Amino acid sequence: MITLRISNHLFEEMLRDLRRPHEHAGERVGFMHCRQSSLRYGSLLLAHKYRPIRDDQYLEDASVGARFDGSSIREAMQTALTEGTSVFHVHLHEHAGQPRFSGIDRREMRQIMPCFVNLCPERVHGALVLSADSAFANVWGANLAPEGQGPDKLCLVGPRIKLWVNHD
Amino acid sequence: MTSRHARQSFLGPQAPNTFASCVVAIVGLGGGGSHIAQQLAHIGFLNVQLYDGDTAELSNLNRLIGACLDDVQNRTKKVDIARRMMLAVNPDMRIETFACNWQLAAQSIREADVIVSCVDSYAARQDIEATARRFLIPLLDIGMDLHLIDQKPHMSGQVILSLAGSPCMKCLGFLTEDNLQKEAEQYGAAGARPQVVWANGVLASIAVGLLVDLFTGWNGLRSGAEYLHFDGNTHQVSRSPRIEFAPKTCSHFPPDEVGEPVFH
Repeated sequence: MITLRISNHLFEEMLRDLRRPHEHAGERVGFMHCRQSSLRYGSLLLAHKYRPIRDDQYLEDASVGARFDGSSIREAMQTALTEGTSVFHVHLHEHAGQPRFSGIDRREMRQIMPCFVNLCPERVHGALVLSADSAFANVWGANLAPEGQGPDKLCLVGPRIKLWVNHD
Repeated sequence: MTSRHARQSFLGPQAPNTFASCVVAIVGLGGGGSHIAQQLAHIGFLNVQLYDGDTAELSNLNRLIGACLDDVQNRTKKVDIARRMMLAVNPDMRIETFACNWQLAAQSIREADVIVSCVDSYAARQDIEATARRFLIPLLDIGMDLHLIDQKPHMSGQVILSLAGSPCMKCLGFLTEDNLQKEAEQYGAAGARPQVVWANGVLASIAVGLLVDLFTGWNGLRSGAEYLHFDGNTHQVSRSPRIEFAPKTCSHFPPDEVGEPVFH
């Protein structure tokens, strides 16, 4: 069982960053770091930090919303190593309601996520897409489906608790 | 929406699913916690964890909801009394009982989406809040006390909502070094604290109202931490002025101090 918790404060911080316009990129991306704790039957991921991708790390590529250079991924990997964190790639679909990954998102994640899993196989990593009021995630790990899978529970913690439970 | 919950349909179409999916932990199944347990069963919460190592005693019967004389004679665990009461309301509930200190089931309580703390000491509150903050779990705390003012009894109580990133019980001035120190000095000498069913009921009902609001947002009024004060003599509940003067961000539980403390 994998549970991901994100505080409302961090959710709002990520929204603020991802909504900033960029000179040439169509959208912004960042990395969310989580501490991983054990549950009786699984893992609990506690999001605690967001690291935006710097303006100069975006590459010009009109075929996708955002393309970024390797240094941004290396920095996220370094944080994962030195601080012992799980890493989530984060981006925004600017609408209300439940977001979903696009085909391009899924293709890109299949390339990026193995880097993190191979680097820190003892931890679960993932991708998170936000909307104006919701979120959707996939997680990857050494003992999880190679194509990624949804967390069993995703919880936004704030004055209004938002909970998504995978009943599969 | 089943007919069982038709009268609370204003909570929104998603409310029954939310109540069925979330996990609520109640720490302390005495006068306050037993009220909370009963109400959660009526509302439709399905997944509840109960933490209390105590058994029913005769002195509990003035306030322990669901308890009867047989429970005193049989030394029934308080968690089992609550469980029996909740299942009588809704047999579909999934109730886990932990007849021990919650610290001995530390991995279990992390699964809770909200913790309701119904303990009777400042030190116990401090411990629960530290864990709730580290694991990003909203905490609702209730408690009552009785003091002599000019030789007359004055009953008071509080309901506090502690949320990650918002003022904590120390920020709100409820937990202070002074009251923790005084409590420690009087440990074992204070005797049984006054507790009455009606004050426990008021405080528990308010806490459950906040809990339902947390999960449904049905009234859209709240925006963060809450500190409500109950005057048991005048029977009035008011927002503590401390909520206005508390720091907007909490310095006692920084955002990056989550999960188990580790050394890298």
